[in-house]
Amino acid sequence: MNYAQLNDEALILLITHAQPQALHELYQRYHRLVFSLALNLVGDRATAEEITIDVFLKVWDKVNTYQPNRAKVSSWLTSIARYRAIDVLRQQRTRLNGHHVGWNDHLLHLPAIRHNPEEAADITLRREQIRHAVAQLPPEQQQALGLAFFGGYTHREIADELDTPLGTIKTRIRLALQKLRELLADEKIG
Amino acid sequence: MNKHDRIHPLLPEFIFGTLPEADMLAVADHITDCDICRAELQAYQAIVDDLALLGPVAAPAPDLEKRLMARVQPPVARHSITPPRGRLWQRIQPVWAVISSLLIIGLGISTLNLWQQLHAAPAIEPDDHMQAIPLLSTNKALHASGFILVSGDGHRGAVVVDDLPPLSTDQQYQLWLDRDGQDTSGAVFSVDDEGYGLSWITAPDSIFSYTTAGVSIEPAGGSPDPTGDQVMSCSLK
Repeated sequence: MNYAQLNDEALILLITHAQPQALHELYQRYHRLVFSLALNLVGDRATAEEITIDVFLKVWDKVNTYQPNRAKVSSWLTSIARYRAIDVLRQQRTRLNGHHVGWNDHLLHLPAIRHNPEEAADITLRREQIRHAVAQLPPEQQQALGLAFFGGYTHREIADELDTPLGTIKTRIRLALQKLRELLADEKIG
Repeated sequence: MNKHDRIHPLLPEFIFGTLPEADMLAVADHITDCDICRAELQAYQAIVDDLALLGPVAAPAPDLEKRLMARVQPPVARHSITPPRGRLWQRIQPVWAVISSLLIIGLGISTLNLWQQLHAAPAIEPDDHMQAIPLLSTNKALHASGFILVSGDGHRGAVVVDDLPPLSTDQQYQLWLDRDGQDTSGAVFSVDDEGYGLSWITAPDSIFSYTTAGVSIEPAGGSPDPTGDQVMSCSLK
């Protein structure tokens, strides 16, 4: 059986049937994405590797918690990675004084993940669209969104860090998400 | 302030995973009932997925997969799986278990109500040789999904589909197995109001001896040869 030809949902189905080869294929597809996301959040390779292992172990052990009507498999993986990284950050209490990657770091790096040429081209295009959309946000919205997404800060922590009212932070992040939603939807249509 | 008004502002933090656990649970509970919040959350999720693509990409140590697999529980210890709540999953996963058990023990059953048998299904041991072949939908059924499940020897199989458009009573779906341009009927089946359908495959030869499989819309009872629109297909090689 050629697992590389199966879609993600089929791999998940096979993982419920305890097929390690399916986990191997899923790992091959997404380990860089998961690892990179974790590394961007925690800033430490060893910790990011542990998070990556945790993510795929959760897929293996808790595959029955995946709900295909809620999220794509890739979304499920990145969500697990984000939550796990945020847990680690909180345990280490390193967030405010520790590693933090800002938008500038992300807007400057657009390397390719392992994909076939067609997928790589699609991802490169999508990244450019995202970069363009984020760049259109007002600086204060970029800052709040960046702290929430890449820093794993709560809205309250962002408000404290920026010495800004909590309601203002909530509004900035909500408006940023809404604006990105509009911009990225337009890009997809276009 | 009603529940929706209280939960709705929490959606951004929910998607970022930074809410306290009690609020995370409250949001998760609410979105199962609230279409508005669920739709908004899905839109936010799409954005977060996009943002995850944006970061610098790095590769972990080459031996990371080996370290992962060393911690993976051996397959033999896994045979009791609770179905998750998703609709497609909820349907296919237990059917998979029942079918796999029947394929493994080689029952030549042509018709049966699998759902009635679910509760009597024994613990399932994994079958390393059984294959699940995804069916790809055509533009005649864009949202359809499904699998052809085939025993290791290719002589027993089933087709499971979801989100196929329900047909009028004078039509049914028909599975075709193609070899050298010759189509052999493998199954004739209907789907319920939600587009779900399941049927055993009957074929004179091993299913793997065929090149492709396809599902088309045919008159009720099936046709000698394909006559209607093809809605799904897959390669069997």
